[in-house]
Amino acid sequence: MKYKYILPVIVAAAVIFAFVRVLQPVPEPVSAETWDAVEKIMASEAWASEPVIVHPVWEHSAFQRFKNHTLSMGKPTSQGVYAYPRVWMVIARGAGNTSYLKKTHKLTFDRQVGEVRLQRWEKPEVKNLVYDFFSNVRQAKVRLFDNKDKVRACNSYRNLHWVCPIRDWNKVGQSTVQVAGEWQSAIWQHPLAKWTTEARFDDVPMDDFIKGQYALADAAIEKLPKGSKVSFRVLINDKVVGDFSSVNKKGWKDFRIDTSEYKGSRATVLFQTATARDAMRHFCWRASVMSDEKGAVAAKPEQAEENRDAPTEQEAR
Amino acid sequence: MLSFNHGKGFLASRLGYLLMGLLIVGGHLAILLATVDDMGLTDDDDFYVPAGVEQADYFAKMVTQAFKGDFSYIDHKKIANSFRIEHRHPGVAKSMMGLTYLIFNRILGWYDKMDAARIGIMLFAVWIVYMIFRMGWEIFGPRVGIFASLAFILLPRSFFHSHVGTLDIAVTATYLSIIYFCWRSQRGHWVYVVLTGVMYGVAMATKLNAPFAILPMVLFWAYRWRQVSLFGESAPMTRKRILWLVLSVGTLSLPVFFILWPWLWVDTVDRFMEYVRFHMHHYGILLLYLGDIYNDPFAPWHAPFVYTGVATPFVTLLLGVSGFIIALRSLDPRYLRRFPGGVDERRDFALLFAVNAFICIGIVAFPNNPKYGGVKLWQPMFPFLVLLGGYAFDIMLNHLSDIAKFGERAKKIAFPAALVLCLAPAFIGMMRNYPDLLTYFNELAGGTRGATEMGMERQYYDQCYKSYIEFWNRQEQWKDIVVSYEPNQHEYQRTYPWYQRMNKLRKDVRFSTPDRSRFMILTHERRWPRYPDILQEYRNYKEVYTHKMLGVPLYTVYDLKPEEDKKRRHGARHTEAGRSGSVVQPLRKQQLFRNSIKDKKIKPKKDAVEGGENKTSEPVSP
Repeated sequence: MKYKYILPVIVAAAVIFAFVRVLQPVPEPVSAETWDAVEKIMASEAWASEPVIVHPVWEHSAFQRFKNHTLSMGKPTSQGVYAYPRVWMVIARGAGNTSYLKKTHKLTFDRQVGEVRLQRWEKPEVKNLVYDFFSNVRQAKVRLFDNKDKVRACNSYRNLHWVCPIRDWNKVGQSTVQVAGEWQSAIWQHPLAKWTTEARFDDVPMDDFIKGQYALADAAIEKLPKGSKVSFRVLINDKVVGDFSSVNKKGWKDFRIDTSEYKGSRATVLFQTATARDAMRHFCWRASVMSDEKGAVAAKPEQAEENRDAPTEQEAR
Repeated sequence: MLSFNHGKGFLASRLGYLLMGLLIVGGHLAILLATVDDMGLTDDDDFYVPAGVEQADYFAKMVTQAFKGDFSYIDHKKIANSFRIEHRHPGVAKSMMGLTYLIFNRILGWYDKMDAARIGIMLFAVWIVYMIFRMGWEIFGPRVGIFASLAFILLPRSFFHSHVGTLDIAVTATYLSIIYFCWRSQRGHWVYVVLTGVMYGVAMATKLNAPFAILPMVLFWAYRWRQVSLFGESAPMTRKRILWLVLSVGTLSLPVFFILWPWLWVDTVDRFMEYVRFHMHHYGILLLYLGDIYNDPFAPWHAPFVYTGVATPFVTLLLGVSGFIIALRSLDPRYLRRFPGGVDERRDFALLFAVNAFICIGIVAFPNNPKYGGVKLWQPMFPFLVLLGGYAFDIMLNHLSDIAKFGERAKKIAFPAALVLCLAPAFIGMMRNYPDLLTYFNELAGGTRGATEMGMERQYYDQCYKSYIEFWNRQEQWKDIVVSYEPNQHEYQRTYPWYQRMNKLRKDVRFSTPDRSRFMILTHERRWPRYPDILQEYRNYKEVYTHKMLGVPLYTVYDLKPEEDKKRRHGARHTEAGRSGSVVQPLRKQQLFRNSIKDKKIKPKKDAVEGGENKTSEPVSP
């Protein structure tokens, strides 16, 4: 007889649960005052372009906020976000499973601001970061030039890219590409045959070395496994310091360039791509200027320069 | 009065059976027809409806000519011409859409092309509810028939798919029909034996899911074979009948499949192999699942189960799973060896339905297949799930009857009360998500908000929105509206113009590339890897309108060039000032367009199309 209670009891509980859940009202959006307060803290604490992850993913009131930052609604679908040395997170209404950041980052700032919780997560190597090219791609100057010194400027900035005038896929900017099966954020710099595509970063604070990665997107290798090599060159103050070639193999290739001779100075760093045949050469890269010294104060990306001397609040939980 | 006592009173009468059947099945058809306008078009409608029309045209001409003794339509070239748009999938669903298009549009003129073709799919849906009702009622009893058919109608996603001009509801109907005729052929007229074989062929000619029905059927016949050994004459089926059924399926199905798909009438072997090869190596389609994007490699095996777990109304799901577990008791070898207690038809069919439910979802979940589109690929599972839900619901009521000391009056109202309580949350959930039913998630997931935060797809299928149509139709302040779509302009630029052809969307809304558009419509589809970048970019523009479902944004309209309003006002003042009695003709649109082309030195049409496609996914180099 006892087991006869099981199904009616379970169904009755399910019906009550279903009614409670299905009749939940639509919550009010996070108030403008709260967002203003969060943005004020971010203005003093955060570097420009640092990613801000907002939970819950549907919090529409966040769309128009953090204009200087890379906004990610919900758990980032691109693995590239995890490559950032520092990531901010705004958690509204207690929503959000933030455990995914624990694998790569450490919580260093945690504060309740109005209705939301503001957190900062840092990678251990953040103290060695001096300048990140991916975050600063908007400050880059992009152009094409050929071996007859003919130059075409790529000065139309659309959809996070500097678009060059000859072909619309020949552009330089923040993109999401699949590399070794994972969606990654990187700088897209598809070369154009007969031209060199150049991204120029002026006034870059130099330190011990530049480290980075480059790759062809998986699609390029799958669709054209014997495509042309892409020549990828790095120049500092017009002097070649790195000369690499892509290989038709999936995955990132790491590079490291010693820049100790420029340490302490500001320099112009150029990234150039070129190829003989440009079919399916979905080339992308990412790089940062790094310091060897542990605890070196990082030079913040451009827009946060004025905040460089502001005291850093480390409120580790 | 509906009675708590199973099989007594009104429900036991023939009249009750007919009236309830008519009410549920007829009501379902009426509701489907009444809501056709609200269920947005999808990329499949745009693709399969023209293909269906093309095929129906072919059949109409071929049959007409064949009656005149002219068989020239069975010709390589004519078949190739009539299957230009789509020949990757067999033809039953498409031909049905084409047939209803011929009847309701061309002959009767009652519906426009798209809606007339969609009626074909709605008829499949109504047929499903009829079969659920009949099998539920006759195998398990009236309460199961009523519960299961209503529970199916109240599955929000299946309700939406019941309008979509594609193959999923059609294959659900034809798959279920195999099992339905299998049931009817146990002892019924010999014609049901023939129909089982024919229906297997029809189902094969609907979609690739259907042939897998052979697995549960063979198991069921083996089960019945064993019962004959034990019970002899009193077994539900004779061995002779089982052999006839095997013969019927074995001999009739392939010819029917062949006849219903003219594409195979020429180059048969090559084309059949091409069909098999295509589905063995189906290209990947993006899926967002628990916050991760899957394309290649495909989503893991558990994705279909989790999606079902969060996209089926919770009480229906719970009862369905309970029915499934109860049904599996029959797999106990001790039971199978001796069938103690004799033949129990309820128990036998519950097991058959459970095996079918598992196979319908299992063939998508376990092989290395692409998994995408919410729960659409395993729609054939849902009729079995609701039937099992009805079985559990009935058992629950029986248990309640045993343990509760109800008076006569309480007994009378217990069934309708339980029915309403169990299905009301599904109905409320459906109404709250209406008409964007692909956004529905159940109470377990926390509704659309909870599931979106969990990392599930809040929308898919490149669905058009009724609210979008209404939005543009309201915007009288803007003329010649140029829009583009992200992240998937490629699909939307093909589907929304259908609304213009049907005179539902104003004619001066047209699409172009983002740099030439005034407005950008961003659908918040996180399965697109570029979505975060696109949101990052366009959120810097003026937000005109965001359509939300229960607080969750589905799409946002951004104004990319708000300065055009100022210019227009400025221009209007100048025009007013310049008129001074004379009429100043504004430049014609074509003239303006020509001038802009001249300035930019670009080729207009080709460039627009290429640019549009490039914007849809990763940039493509030559």
